[in-house]
Amino acid sequence: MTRAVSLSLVLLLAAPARAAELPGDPVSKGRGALLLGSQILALSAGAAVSVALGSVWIEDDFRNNGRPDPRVISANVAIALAVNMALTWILLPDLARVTNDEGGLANVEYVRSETWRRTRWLALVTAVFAGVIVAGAVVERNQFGAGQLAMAIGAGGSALSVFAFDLTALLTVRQATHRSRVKP
Amino acid sequence: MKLSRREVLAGSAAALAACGARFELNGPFPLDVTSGDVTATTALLWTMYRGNGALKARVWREGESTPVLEQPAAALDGFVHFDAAGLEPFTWYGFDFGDGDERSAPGRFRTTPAAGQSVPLTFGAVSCTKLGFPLTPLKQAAMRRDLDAFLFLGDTVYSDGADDLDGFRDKWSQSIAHPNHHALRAATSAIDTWDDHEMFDNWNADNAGPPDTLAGLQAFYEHQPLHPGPGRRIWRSLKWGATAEVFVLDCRGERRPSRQQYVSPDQLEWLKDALSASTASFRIIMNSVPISNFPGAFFGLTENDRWQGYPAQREDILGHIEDTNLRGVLWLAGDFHLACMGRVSRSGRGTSAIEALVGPGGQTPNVSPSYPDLPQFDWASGINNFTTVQLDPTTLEATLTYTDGNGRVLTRRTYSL
Repeated sequence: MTRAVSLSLVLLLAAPARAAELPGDPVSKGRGALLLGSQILALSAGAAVSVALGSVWIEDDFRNNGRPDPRVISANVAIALAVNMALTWILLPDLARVTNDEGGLANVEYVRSETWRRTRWLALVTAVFAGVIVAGAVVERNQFGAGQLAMAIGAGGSALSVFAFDLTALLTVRQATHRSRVKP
Repeated sequence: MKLSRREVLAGSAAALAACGARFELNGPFPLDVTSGDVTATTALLWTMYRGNGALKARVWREGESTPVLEQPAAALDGFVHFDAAGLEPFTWYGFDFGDGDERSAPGRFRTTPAAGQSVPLTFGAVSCTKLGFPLTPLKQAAMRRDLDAFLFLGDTVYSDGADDLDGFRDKWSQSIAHPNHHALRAATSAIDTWDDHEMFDNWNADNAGPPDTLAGLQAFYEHQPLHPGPGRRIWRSLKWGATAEVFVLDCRGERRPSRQQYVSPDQLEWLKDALSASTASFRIIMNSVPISNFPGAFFGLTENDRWQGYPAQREDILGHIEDTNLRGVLWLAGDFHLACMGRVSRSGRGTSAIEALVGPGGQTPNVSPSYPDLPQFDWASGINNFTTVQLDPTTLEATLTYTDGNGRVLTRRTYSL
């Protein structure tokens, strides 16, 4: 556990410094709109996949027991948040490629590193809130009513932070894409 | 598997309802019959009549063919409320209406035990039966032949969106036109109260304009087998011999959040006096919204929508019951879209009081990610269901059984009251 936390901190702190700005032509309006559209599509798909994955066990658990188990719900929320952030990290920087044309090419690695650099703390905050939900759920399962406040704070906090995470990723990818363009 | 014509029709109607299609109200008796608020010698028989003939009500002892009563019945705006009198105590009767050409489908009811008669009783109960849901728990309940009466805890019909008498009437007729409603309403007599959705979401005396309320109340009484009390009030009590007295509360129509008033002072005083005066073994309190305190943030969000948000009146009634050492008290409630049983409070007043939430009979389950649990609550479920309450006056035990829409018993628990 300690090793995992240390490794996470090392990864977070060892993010690359901002790369030197590279010259490139401005992205055309059409390509810019295409990037934005595909980003929104990817974020929506990521959210839908994560919610769907998260709700599978909840529905199954409810069908079997006729009532929700807060531990199952919190675990699924945590999984949904992790899947959402992973998909954002994986998919969004790659979408920089849709801006490639004869006027310039995006540096996907740079875009990816910038996205990581700017969103990692939001990811950590989201993970902390997810932990609060899970902890609240464990307490709640032991005594009805005792963990609900923690679950509510965790849910609200993680919803806000994951939203901020996705929005930051979206804006960062756009900025980094523009900045990283070079002549082909 | 061979299906009868009635089953095919019922299935088709249910499928139509699920698709949001409207029910056609055909024939002179489009909503069949129901009965309610029976006594040892009387019953209120109801139908909707859309004909022009000389209408008669007919009552017979179940299993016999000769009517014990056949009398003219009058319709007011198409609604018939016929008071059948001269009946025998604790007897099953069949009844119908006819106009010379056509007869309604039959219904049945059981009169209450005579005053002083102490016998076991079984009541059915449900809440929250919204059109568009399959309402299969109602069908399961209708198949029972042993339910002495059926308690509707409110949100029987969702009238949200109606703003005049025609609108309210349409909501009512479309809702109870569902075949599973038909079947249950005909299977035994009803004891009805309302909750908010009979008018609109979160209805109370502070937020309802008189025209809306009057139209909604009128439609309620037109479609239900009960007579309005003075000022159209619904709170009342019904004696079931020496076994039980059912106290029907109005948790919405007299509520005034602006005055921290959950029920009117008159209603509260009546309840305390009537509970004390009752000599029945069981005092069943029909309470459309729970009196239980639900701890935690999720249920805390809605605490102003129940007794918990009105602690003075809650303490008053619970204190009265405890201080006067009343036994046999069972609170029944609905509204929450979840079924549960347990103590009314974890500490303070109500730690020994028992409340059972019944239903939902046709609604989405409560969305809280955590349901009531031990030590205050013994069981909870969000599965659509109906409840039976078996009362044994010799042991003073009440056995609660929750059954889902497939006839599966979800749980059964006995409380010594």
